[in-house]
Amino acid sequence: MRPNTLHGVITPEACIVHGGHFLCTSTIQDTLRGIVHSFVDHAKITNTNHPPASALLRRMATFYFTGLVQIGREKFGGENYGIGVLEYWISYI
Amino acid sequence: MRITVLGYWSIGFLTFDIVTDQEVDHLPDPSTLPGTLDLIAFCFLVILGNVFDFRTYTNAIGDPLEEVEVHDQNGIALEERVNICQARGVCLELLRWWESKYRVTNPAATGSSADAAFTTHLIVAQAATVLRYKRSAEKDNREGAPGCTASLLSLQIDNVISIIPGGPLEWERIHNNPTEVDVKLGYNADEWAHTEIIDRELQNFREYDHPEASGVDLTPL
Repeated sequence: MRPNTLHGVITPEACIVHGGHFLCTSTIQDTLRGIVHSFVDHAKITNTNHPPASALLRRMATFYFTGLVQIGREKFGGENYGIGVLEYWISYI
Repeated sequence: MRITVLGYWSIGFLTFDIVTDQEVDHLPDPSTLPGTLDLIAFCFLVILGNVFDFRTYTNAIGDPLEEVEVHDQNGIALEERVNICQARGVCLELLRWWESKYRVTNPAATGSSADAAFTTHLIVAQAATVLRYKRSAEKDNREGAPGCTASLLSLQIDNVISIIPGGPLEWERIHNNPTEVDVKLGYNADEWAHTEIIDRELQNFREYDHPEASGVDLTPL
């Protein structure tokens, strides 16, 4: 299910429901909308506050920076990668 | 020092981790308008990370902060606060990199002014939209994050905007033109059908400084 999708859980008998969330680049616009709605309309919406999710966003920032800026999107894949990555000092750590 | 080393390690490990084509597919494509908007939306969430964190408006035991004093401590632990600052810096660098590498055609169609970088405009405009939404919700007595009022939210947004290059000027411009504040959250590429992303002349982004970023014309005389 995409982020910011109105949904409910219906079960034929009393249950404990277990689920999870993940962040996806291609639906990040909906994530933004969902986070803002949860923040502004917290009392009307359930499942609104997830402090660990902000840590995931911060890790994604590192991933984006490394992938886009330090390595470059075009250098991924195939044989180019091994050569490209060694152009950066960080790869020698 | 430990945090710095950890940062280098995380980048080092990540560099080796994202080696497959499957994983690179998770990166937005900044050379396209939808990819750029995804990147900016993501940076918006990280740059304003503490603003949307419920703990910003509560104390360490979860009670709403009644009065915000200069040295008040909110519910975010010091270590995490440092992490938030670091991630914000990473995203500001990402945006600077984008500005050094790409630009939009027909920026006026996106609501951008000549006085602000494209990314700065979108981040600031979205912050204005969030503040407008919060004020509207407050009028309707809809309760948001515990302890967060529109004035506290405005204070937090002001703090973040103040460190975005060109942010305060753009924030003031939008503040003086409230009709420009959008009511829609997020960025919709379909609305900017005649806008494209094109490459700038190749340059080293680390030496790049958008002339409008500081409000000072850096063009050599």
